[in-house]
Amino acid sequence: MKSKSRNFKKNAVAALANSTLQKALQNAKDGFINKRKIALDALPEFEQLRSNAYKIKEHTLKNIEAYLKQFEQQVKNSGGEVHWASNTKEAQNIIVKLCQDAGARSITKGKSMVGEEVALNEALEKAGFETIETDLGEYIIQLAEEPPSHIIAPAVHKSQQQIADLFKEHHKKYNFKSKLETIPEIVDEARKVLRDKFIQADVGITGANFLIAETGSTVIVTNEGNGDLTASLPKTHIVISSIEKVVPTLEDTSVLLRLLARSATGQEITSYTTFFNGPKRNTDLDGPESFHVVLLDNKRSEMLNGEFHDMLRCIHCGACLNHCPVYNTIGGHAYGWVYPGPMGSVLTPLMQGLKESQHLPFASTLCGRCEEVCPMSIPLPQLLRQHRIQAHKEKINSTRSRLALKLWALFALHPLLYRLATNIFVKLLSWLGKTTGSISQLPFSHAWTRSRDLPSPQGQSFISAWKKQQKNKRMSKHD
Amino acid sequence: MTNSRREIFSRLQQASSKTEQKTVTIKEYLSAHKRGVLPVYSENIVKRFISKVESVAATIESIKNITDLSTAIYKYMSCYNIEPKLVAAPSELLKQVKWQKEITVEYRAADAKDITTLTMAYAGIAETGSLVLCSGKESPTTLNFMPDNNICVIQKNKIYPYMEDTWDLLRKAGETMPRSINFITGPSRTADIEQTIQLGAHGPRRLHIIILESSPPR
Amino acid sequence: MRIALFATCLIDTFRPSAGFAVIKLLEQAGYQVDVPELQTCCGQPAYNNGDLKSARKIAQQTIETFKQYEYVIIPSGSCAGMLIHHYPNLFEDNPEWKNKATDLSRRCYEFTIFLHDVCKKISFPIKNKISITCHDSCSSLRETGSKQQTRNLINSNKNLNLIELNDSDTCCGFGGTFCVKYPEISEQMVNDKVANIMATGAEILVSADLGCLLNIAGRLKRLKSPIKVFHIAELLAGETDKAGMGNEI
Ligand code: SF4
Repeated sequence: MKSKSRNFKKNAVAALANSTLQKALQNAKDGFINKRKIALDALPEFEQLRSNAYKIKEHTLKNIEAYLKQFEQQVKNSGGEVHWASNTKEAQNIIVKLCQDAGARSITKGKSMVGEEVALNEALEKAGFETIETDLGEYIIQLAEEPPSHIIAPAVHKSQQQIADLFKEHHKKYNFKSKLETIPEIVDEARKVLRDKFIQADVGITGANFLIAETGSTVIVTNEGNGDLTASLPKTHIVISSIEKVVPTLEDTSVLLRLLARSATGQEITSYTTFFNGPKRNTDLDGPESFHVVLLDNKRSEMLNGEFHDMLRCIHCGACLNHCPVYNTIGGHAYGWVYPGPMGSVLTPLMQGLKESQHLPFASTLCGRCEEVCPMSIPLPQLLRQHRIQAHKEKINSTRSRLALKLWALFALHPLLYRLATNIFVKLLSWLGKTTGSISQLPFSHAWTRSRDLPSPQGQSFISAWKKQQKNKRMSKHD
Repeated sequence: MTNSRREIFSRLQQASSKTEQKTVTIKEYLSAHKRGVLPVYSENIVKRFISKVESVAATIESIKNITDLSTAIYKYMSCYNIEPKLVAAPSELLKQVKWQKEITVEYRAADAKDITTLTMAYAGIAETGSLVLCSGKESPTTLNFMPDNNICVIQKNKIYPYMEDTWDLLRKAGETMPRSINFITGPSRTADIEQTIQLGAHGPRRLHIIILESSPPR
Repeated sequence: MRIALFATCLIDTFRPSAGFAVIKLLEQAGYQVDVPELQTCCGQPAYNNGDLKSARKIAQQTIETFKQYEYVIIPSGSCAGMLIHHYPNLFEDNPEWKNKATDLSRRCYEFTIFLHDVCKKISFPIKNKISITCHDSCSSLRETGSKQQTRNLINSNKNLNLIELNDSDTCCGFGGTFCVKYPEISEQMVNDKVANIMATGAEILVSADLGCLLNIAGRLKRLKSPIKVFHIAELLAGETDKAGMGNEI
């Protein structure tokens, strides 16, 4: 998918005006936040787990080369194959080729954000494969031809009515014609339509939440069961994932799993947590005949030793989105690419270029709630600041704001000048607001006054008033 | 494509040579199998398992002996109006069951039309109320995901406190990992429509667990 | 003991009465307070907009200005966070200034924390029963961690009836330059905040951060709400009979 992050401002304004979206966001926010809170309140070990997870991931990143090699070896040992992709284009090519070699016509997909990152569906469809998303949320947005708006709840922006309408339009060809009035009816119809797809598919593609070096396992964490049907029914199972998802041992994975589901949906564990180890064994009665893991780099290796290293700990739980007041106000699409919210505002500039996505790091109040809830202790505000530093260095942000900042810094660094300017400013504003106590219109300040008054100052600045007071005190002492 | 492999590893190497000396070799780390933080709980593990299973919308009952299984399943099926047809995992134990005549049973992997399956858990996890199923010749994976109703038998002495116990079990068995290890916690569900939880998205709509109290003769 | 007030640029400009209230309370606790005239701004606008060079220079100036004081009191969560947490980070590559910054950060106190942890027994001259609600700034929640202190101070006075806000840990949408860079998003955020404030039915809103207060008072005023807005120091100093922020004097 081509990034639309450049239009962030326009996208955000449109999102604010979209009442269906606003309702959906409100609903989702309360649900996610409350469920996570209940789950964490019941887990006194949360902080311990968090620091445990931090250590595991840091240890892994320090030795990532060795662990990836170990993972690769173990996948081979269990009869599978690992493929390496430096960038998204390579990942597309590898997977298209694998599907062609498998003689595939139809492909089912489990949810994968790395799949979104490499725009896998577009590539597969271009190559002539029928490609069906099987996670209900992903399926819905595939029908709507939209990108996901949340990393764990891709269709969170859609209302029940919109989904029913989509199904009506797209399921005609399968002879489903009745109007879907309830959520169970919608889910049931999706189950029926997708059931056939599962059975017909020649290749199943899933993502992976973790890759385990010790055993060569790829792990998926789901609730619907679609990932397991996608992996187990077709002749070929392809896993698409990225290099930073590697974890040393099964024990380490267990620690991360305890944090993941709770942070994401407030569950202790999801309905299905599955560890895949290669293709079917000789004596197995089902399962795929071939097993491939495609591992994407796409700038991650460059992050390893740089300022954005911490971001490689991310386990994609989505908690930072759910707790972000900006995300909750505008939704995921406004961010313009596949990763929204705080984690997206860190990742998108790294993967799509800072110039292209220059708004994202600035569209945050740095309120710190994301860092507070992040199970992997990722200092998201600091990483956003890091992008801002880069933007300043590269003179990417607007000349107007740079000029204003320069001027302001000039004053701030010359206290006497600063006093003078403050005093004039205070006098002026106090005069403007003297009858009402506040100012409702001010030249060059529409951004503030469009929705707020400006409380007017109190006649003089604090420092001047204090100086005067001190002087009076001294004089009265002398008298 | 091997080029990309080389490129990726050379980038990683460059980055990691700048980081500090490795303190533990990865071999040591991997073989230590060190457990991380485990949430503490005080309940008896079977009790905990039962209450956790119930909290994720699955149903659960206990039977004394394997000879009680047929009656229990028949009762369950009648209660939910389920056609008494079972596709069962071809496990040693399940194959020994003498089914009452009302139930028809086939031992095989699942296919699209199967309504109810019967499986045998490798282990149970009390911490979360999860069943562990390992694929193999006695345990086809499709049985866990294809049907509307999944009934799973777990021996009481195979309920363990934590997920980590499964790892020790698998290692002790000494075999290579099975193709697929499934931790199953409740029936299939989705919240993709307006955050409303709906059971039975793609996998089973119902999960019924039967604890087998006696350990069967070897 | 020499104790200084870092008034912060927003109090200096918009709310001197908050500065005086702080001094009144500190004097009541037995301190003599200095206000170094050479203070300007803590440098957050530069720091948060990626201009590290200016941020460092401003930090150095501030560090020099306050070097001889045993305590530096900062009546704003975000500025306190800047001096205490971010100043030392600014000088990772400069041990000399890193030391100086760390030394300053140890002497800095966010105002409510100082009042609560250091001043100990102090009573507040609040004459009438008032119902209030309190907005915790993001810095006070996550950088200085003064939420509990604020509660304890308020609850120590029988005349204050605190009604807690719904969604109290959500940002008000100020965010420094954020609110003018993305005014539409900021508006929605402050709207949500103000709705929660109005739902409490409290007469007065207080906070220990003037950025949030300007934002919230400005929106309340635009919506013609009768809720009065004060810096928490003004409340504790018993000065809520005066004009609130954005109200006629
Ligand atoms: S940054 Fe943290 S909170 Fe956000 S998705 Fe990643 S792990 Fe979760």
